[in-house]
Amino acid sequence: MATVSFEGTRKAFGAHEVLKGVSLDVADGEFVILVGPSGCGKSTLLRMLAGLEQATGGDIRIDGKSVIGIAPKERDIAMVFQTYALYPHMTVAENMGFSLRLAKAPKAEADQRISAAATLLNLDTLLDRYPKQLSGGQRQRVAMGRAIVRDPKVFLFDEPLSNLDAKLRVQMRAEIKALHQRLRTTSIYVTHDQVEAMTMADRIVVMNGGIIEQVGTPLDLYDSPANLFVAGFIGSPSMNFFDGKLERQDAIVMFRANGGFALPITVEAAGSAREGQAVVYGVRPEHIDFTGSDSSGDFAPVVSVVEPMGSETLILADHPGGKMTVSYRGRGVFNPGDRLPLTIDASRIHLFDRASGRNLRYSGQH
Amino acid sequence: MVAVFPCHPQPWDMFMYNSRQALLFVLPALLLYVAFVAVPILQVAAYSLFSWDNGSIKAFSGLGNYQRLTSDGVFWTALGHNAIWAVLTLCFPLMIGLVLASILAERSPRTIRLMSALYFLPRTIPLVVAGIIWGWIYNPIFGLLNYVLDLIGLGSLGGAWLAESGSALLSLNAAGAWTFYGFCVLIYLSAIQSIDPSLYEAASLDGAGWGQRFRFITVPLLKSTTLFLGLYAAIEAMRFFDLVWVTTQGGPGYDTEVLTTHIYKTFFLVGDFGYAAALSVVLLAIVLTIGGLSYRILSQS
Ligand SMILES: Nc1ncnc2c1ncn2[C@@H]1O[C@H](COP(=O)(O)OP(=O)(O)OP(=O)(O)O)[C@@H](O)[C@H]1O
Ligand SMILES: [Mg+2]
Repeated sequence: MATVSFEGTRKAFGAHEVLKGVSLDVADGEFVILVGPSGCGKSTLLRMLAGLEQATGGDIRIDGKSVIGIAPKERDIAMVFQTYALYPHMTVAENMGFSLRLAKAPKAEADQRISAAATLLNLDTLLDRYPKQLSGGQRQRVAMGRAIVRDPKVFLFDEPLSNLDAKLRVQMRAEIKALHQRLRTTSIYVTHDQVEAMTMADRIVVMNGGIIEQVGTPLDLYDSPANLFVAGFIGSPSMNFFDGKLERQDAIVMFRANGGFALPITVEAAGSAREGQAVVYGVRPEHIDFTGSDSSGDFAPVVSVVEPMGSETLILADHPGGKMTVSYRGRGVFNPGDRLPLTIDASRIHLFDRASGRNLRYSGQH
Repeated sequence: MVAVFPCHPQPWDMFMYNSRQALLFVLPALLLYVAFVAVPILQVAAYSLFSWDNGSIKAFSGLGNYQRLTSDGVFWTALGHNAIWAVLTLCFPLMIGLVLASILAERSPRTIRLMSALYFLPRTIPLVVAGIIWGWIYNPIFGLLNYVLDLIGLGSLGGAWLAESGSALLSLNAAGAWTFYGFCVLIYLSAIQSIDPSLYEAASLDGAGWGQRFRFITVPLLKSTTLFLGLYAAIEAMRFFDLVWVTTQGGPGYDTEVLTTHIYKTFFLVGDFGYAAALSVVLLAIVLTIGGLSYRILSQS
């Protein structure tokens, strides 16, 4: 059990700066998920905490103590690698017990800890097998077992489920979450998968280009994205964006898209924005409704593709300024070419400053 | 094709057709092999069944030449030296190669290229030349080794390295190791580089220091490489010749005598073709046995 903090942590490989000053506090027992596009430095951050890469600036603390210059083996951190990194010449039991063997733990205690972890992970019958005799999911579990046996201060996971098929991924996702609820070990978890991040995290850290864009609970990030990047990254299918500017019409401020149509906004969403300011209007596919009637003044894109998902129907539609996605909770009959008169729940929309990308709703707070 | 198989070809026809075709392709190589390898070997085996006098066959003697082996002390001494040579080669060049390779593997690509070229250099020197170089190094009067020992105040340890019966074989073996360890470094290095680096990372997180990673990850994962190098070294140890011949020619006395020098002397100096042939057949049998063994073991692992 431990707290972890990054303080202005930097990392450069030669002249290429990968992490440009990252600050993050992880509380004891918290499950934090790092998400972000490929190459944004997630693995690098994790590996620096493990001691596998050296920071080139800033500080990293575990339980308040700086770990800069401390060897990986002194940090008491366990990591589950994307490729699992199981020792191919050792059995499952030997893999899980390797750290105990190195620490010269008494045999009885080691055996007891191995079998406890094996029971927890349903590996009891596989203890004598070698990694190559296991399925992907079983290997994944052994990798977790190797981490659990150590009872480390911090668990690190680098895309641990990305080599599994979709069904197994869902199952393991639930198992990891249950495991964390039991063990309550501080965990940092890297993933590409939206759903993993939303369902497993206490808090999500959205990274981009070597910096942290926003940190918050999954619902925080969904409801109150700090900027365009987070708004587009969190949520599936992604938020719809329209380019345009703010315009006053009979004492009411509204959004005028570059495509010509107008959309409703709220004073809260506009924040400190001024009339005429170039903004991006964002609304999630699930916050759009269908108007029964179709008067010509309404916002009515044209259906181009229909994707029935069973519980919902995704409609890709063209509007004068580009494309958008609408999610319909049910099974309507939609045909390509149909006009789709829509109403937007103005209380759920976001307005972003075109230039800085910042969410205008919170721009007044600084 | 259509003419050969008017309907669907049966697997057996296909096999016969393929193997006949394959035979056609290997035929030239096979002919050369039979003419220049198989026939001479059979010839030597046949010669070993006769007693010879000054280069001409005297009489058929059956296994008589082989019977002589049991009472030939030089043969057993030489065989013992080959065995010692094999064991020393397994101990030193292999281990040095493994350790150097594991240290080198963690350096930058540039260092790796440079150092592995340096390590490998002795291997590229013809063994005859290597023998001459080491003959100089070991020279009791103007040799480098005695000179250096003098310089560091250990002059009393110096001696006639290749001329004294206690040190001759070991000194030669050191020279042999010098020609072989670079090869081991290179083979081990490429094997280490094919190990998933995350295994080492996982091990260091599990609490392993350098020595423990070496012992618990590198060594066991290089088992088949070690096996290969070991069997290779064993075969080399049975058939090496040049190094001994240009330095000691088996001397002093029989202190550095090995099978090949014994065969050479028996053939060219004594002119006992029949017995030399019998010795050659024994050497061939030993090497083939090791070779067959290595093939079996390596194809299993
Ligand atoms: N050893 C290295 N030497 C040089 N550059 C590196 C090294 N390791 C990573 N990088 C660079 O650092 C950047 C961040 O890499 P990192 O692996 O942290 O990305 P990531 O966010 O984990 O991406 P992904 O989601 O694809 O795993 C990348 O541009 C990568 O090319
Ligand atoms: Mg990564």
